[in-house]
Amino acid sequence: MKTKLIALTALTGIIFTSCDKDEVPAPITVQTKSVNDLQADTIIGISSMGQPYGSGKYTLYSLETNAVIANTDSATTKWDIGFRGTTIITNGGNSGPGTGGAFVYTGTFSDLTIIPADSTFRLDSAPTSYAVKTGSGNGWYNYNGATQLITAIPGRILVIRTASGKYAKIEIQNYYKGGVTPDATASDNDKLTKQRYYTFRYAFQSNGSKNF
Amino acid sequence: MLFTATAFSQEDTLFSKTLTELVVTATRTERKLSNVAVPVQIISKKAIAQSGSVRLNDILSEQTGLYITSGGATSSAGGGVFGNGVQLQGLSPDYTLILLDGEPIIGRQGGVIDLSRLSVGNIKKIEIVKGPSSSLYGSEAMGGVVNIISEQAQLNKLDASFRYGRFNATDANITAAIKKQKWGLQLFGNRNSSEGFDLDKTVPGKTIDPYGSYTTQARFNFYPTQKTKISLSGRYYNEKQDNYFLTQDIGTGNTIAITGNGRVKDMNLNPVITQQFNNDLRSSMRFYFSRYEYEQTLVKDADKSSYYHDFFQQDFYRAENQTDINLPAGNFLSIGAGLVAEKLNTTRYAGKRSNDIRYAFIQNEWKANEQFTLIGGLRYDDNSAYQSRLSPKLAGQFKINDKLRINASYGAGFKAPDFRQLFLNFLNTAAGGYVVYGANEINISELEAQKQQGILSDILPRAYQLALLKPEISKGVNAGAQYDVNDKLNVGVNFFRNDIDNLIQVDVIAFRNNAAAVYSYFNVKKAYTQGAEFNASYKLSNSFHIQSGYQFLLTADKSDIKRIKEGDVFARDLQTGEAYRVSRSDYAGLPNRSKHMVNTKLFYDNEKKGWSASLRVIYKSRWGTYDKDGNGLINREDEFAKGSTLININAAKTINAFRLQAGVDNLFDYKDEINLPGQPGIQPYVSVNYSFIKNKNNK
Repeated sequence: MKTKLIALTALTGIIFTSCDKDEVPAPITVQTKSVNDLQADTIIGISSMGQPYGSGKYTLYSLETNAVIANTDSATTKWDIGFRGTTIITNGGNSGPGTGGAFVYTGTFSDLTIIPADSTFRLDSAPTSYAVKTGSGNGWYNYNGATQLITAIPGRILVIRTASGKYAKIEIQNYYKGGVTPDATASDNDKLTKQRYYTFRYAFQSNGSKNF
Repeated sequence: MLFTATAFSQEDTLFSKTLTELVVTATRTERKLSNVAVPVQIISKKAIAQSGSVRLNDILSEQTGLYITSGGATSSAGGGVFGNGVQLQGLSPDYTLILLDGEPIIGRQGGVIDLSRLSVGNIKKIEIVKGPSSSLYGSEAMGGVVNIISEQAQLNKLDASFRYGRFNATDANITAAIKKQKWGLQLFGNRNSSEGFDLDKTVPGKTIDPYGSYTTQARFNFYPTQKTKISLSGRYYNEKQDNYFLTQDIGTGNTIAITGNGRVKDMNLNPVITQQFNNDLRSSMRFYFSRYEYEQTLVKDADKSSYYHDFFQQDFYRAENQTDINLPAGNFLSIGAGLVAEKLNTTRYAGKRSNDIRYAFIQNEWKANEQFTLIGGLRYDDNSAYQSRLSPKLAGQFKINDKLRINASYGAGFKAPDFRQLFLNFLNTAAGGYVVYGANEINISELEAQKQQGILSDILPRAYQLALLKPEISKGVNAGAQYDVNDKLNVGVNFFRNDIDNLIQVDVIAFRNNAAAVYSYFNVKKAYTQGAEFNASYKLSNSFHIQSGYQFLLTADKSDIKRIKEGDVFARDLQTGEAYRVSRSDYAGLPNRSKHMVNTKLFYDNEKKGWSASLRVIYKSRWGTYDKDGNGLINREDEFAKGSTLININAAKTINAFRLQAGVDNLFDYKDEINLPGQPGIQPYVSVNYSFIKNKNNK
């Protein structure tokens, strides 16, 4: 796996957790990390029906340790999220033994400073429904039938509850190798072989609070 | 009287919109241009000849407010790969009706009539009516109507011409006409071909493959009595394009060569009988049959095994009567009714599909006095496959004095759901197994049955809104003025606003058990286009004329604006990859539209010395191509194609029966490989025209 992990500049956010004037604001420091070219079941062939396929396995990832977790550990709580094509699973529901869940927040990465108290975390119920909704326009991406390109929808933040019940926010930025979506005029082959490479940034709150 | 007046009317003058110039498209009867209350533009035969145009898109691209869509591999909203269509007042080619002698040209691919199918060699004039005040023409006349008026035999004539240009582009024409007291016959033949061109040498195969086409046209007019005219016209078009390209076999990764060809056939037949019963009553019966055929066959070069096959055949039958009655008190009434039958046979749908339409229209033109004219009209279209539609129109003109006229009009046009939106039944095995149903191919009980059988896993609330589709509609207002300042200068302005409703869009109605989506069609979207058009024409001297036009255009998808106002739309920064909230000023409106379009044309014409020349400058500002940052909008710098300026020049000399012309289109070799693959760059050409019969009555 050629995944490259880069820790970006540490993002320091000062959050007012309460409107009470007298309360001393608690400074919270959450690192924003970037992950580039995370392969997510890249295409290895085309079926006789003309459908592209990969090995069918999820790429499991630990947000806590910022590392790829082996598939042999799929039944453990070592991983928090998994990627296979455009489908994203969380370590919870019927996908894993953890307490994971997720929902999609509309807004910018920096807008989301606190997970609202009334938020509902969805659970995986594969294969019919996932915590992060599948399908074009439903969750994190758009599929353009004319260009046959997948684009991460800007302003969609995945709010993740990890396997151990902590919280993270993820902004998926690109689905293609090198973080660059091919041109609409690129060859079908380019569009197929360069897809399923995730570029995203995330912030993981290790203290268990819902603040970022 | 009626027919001779029109048959022998003077050749149109090129420059000034003289008061005597006649226009038929605006009111469905011949009217002087100066008496027409809706925005109309006329392109004369002489203007076409002076511009050196060959195909219809060439000449239309030089007119104010007309935007020719082309090329971009993905710009489905504005033409895409389906050839050159025309936008009017910012409405897509899907919403402009192209007529040949009042009858619709059929064969839309991706919603677009490819204008390069039409040779300009046999055109007498082109009339363009903008906005939905052309709604009496029925479906598709939302953005407006382009009516091509072909030549009718006026004199004995035998002309031949040949043009040769870059890329071995040839265009050969032969025109023959016989005119007798009681009948006239006009014959026309055209061959057009090119070896194509290649904008990107690094990609094997050409950008535009070699093609060739034939057009033949004939029109027979017969006048058995002074008051009867019978005409029969026909057209046959046949085009073939040879394809060759390399592609990677996705299964093996090997490079393979693909060969084959695409063919287009297009034919029509149009008998018309018109009877002038007396000074106050005239009636005509029109019949029209048209067939359009498209077939593409591609094979793998190595073993000739099939790679791709697509066949599409459309038949269109129409019978129509229109009766015009002169009524007292300055009223002129037109009533009409007709039947349309359409049939489709294609590899894309399961089996043949057909649809019948019945329609009727009524229009009254009331000339209150010399100054004021009011026109009201209604058209009703009824059919079984989608909701019926009533289209109103109202237009008024007030002549303040001899020089100044003001016009205002309102109209509501529509576009019927197309066959795909009604009848598609498509399972895509290649891309994830999704399903698309035309609105008439699915209903909620069928979906529930499929869920029972385990085919579907989930039915979405949207599915309960499945209904008979409504036609897409557009309500348009135009208001403007024409001012003939003096013999030399005239200027015009027109403001327009079109509100488009019920736009049909595909939406997810259910999920299959393999999580693939099931789609159908709904009337959901709303949009608008608005702007202003300015035209001026100035006679510099006896030989020099200058014409200039400008269109300012704003467009938007109303639901996008609503989403932006609610703060729900974001964009992604090209450099940082981070998202930010889109503001109203970031949003550029509908794709494939230029905010500013300018044309300036200088014509020189010295009949005595036999010289003529032209210099034409056509500018359009940047236009949106397609969304790249996933928000569905045109908002980011890299989502625009750069603005372009095309400069075309030519000169012609007439020596006895010869006319020689030389010119250069796109003088400064403007190219945009990505967004305008149909633009080959600089194109020099020479042409020669010879008249075998020199008729003194010509002038």
